[in-house]
Amino acid sequence: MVEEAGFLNFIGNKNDDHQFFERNHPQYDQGSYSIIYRANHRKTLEIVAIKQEFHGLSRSTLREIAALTSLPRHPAVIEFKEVVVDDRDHFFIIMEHLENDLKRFMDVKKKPLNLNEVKCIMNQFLEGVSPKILVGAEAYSCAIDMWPVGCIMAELLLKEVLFKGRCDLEQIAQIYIVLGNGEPDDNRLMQKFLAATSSTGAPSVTELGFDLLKKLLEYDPEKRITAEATLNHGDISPFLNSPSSLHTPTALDKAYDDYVCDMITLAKSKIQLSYARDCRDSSSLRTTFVLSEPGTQVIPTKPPKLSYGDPREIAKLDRVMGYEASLLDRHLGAKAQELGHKTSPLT
Amino acid sequence: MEFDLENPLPPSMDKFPSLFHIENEHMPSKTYLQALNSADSNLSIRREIVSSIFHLTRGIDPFSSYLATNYMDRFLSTHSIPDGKPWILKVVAISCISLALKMRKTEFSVSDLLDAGGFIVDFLTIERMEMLILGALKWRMRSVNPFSFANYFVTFFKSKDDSSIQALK
Repeated sequence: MVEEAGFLNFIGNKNDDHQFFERNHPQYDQGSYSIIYRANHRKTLEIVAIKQEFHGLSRSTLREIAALTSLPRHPAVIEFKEVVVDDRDHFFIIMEHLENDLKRFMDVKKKPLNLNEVKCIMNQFLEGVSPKILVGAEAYSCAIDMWPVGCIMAELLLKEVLFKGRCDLEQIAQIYIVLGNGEPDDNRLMQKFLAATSSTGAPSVTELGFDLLKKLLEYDPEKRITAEATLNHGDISPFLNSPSSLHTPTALDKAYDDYVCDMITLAKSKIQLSYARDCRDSSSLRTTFVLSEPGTQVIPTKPPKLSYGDPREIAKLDRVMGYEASLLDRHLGAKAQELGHKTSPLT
Repeated sequence: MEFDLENPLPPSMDKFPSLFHIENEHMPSKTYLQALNSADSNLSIRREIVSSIFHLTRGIDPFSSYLATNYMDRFLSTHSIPDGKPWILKVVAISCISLALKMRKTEFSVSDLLDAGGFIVDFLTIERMEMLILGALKWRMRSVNPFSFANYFVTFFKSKDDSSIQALK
């Protein structure tokens, strides 16, 4: 588990100058599976983020790094640098360091974001998932899943996680509550937004913006709006048509200047993007989790103990998320039998 | 792997040339075959690891076994295994399986398999070997391999009979 304070002031093999980092911040971010430090490279003084895992290399970290190494370098994608192992067999993942990320940014901001801010962040997200930088990067034939982008857009507007669930099935239940069971139900989603507007002063979403959100949160992956179409959607495109305005705050309304500067640094903070990209993985389902605690591992490596479901729910899960749920099905089926349950907790 | 026989076409066909290109980055070095054939011991080392991989992953989908074998070949093409330490072969096999399972959407973990197979291993050793393999493979674990092309080639099968498609499934 976590070593006593005092250890870890130096990370890396001391005989090898190249891999030698000096910790300059006691502890940055701690989750149940890993801890993140901020450190300097001893020679170059470059600031990096160092992630230490407690229980060996976790599935999610391996997948995250594998996804990052299969992408070309891009300013909107966090950079994986290297992995160093010290003489005590602890290993550390060295990544680009970010002063800010979306979660921290939203925490610092007391008020909900205004519409322009949401659009600006969305735009940077889309830049990250746009087909341009993904050409040749995806090893599998997999369309970029825009579902997590919808979750993030809603979260930006609401300043809270759209679907709160602690495990896959709870999450699915939440999706049904918010979007309706079967055909998505606009009214429920709209009501959630209206409630947020009156209680927290969240910006009231425009009709066009709501239309985009609906298209992003479409159950059927075949019908779900593509990254390309999102870029051309009326709600986002005004920002995209003048890309230079994004990098020159003066072009935007003066009142937003400070926020825009923050948001440009935010564009580099998308470690979450690797999850959003990895759309064949159930992690995309958990993007909201990842967003809620960036840099920490809240994803359980083992399936939750009491999750089981009936085949209809599994088929829906498959349809909703656009990935093959049969493996989950097999696992859940076995669990259900083992427990002597025949019904799903969702019905 | 997922075979969608009813709708075998991937979202975009123009991805295939780039897939072929990426596949090269997920193959053992060009001299690997030569190295294997140059000494009987190399060949028997590989054979032994492959047999351990398949023994442990029996009952799991073949893609996981394939992925583990791919990792092993790529690892062996850059690292040689010292003679006289037969236990290392087991450690390599187990570590490759462990990595393959972590990359797959399976609910199994390598400890489940080891329990079932009656193996007792030191997990610290496995972790060290995982790191060694990951370094050798430059962390490129999203292997592009023949399975990635299966859907494409399935489109060339013309079947008049729906039942044979069902049978293929």
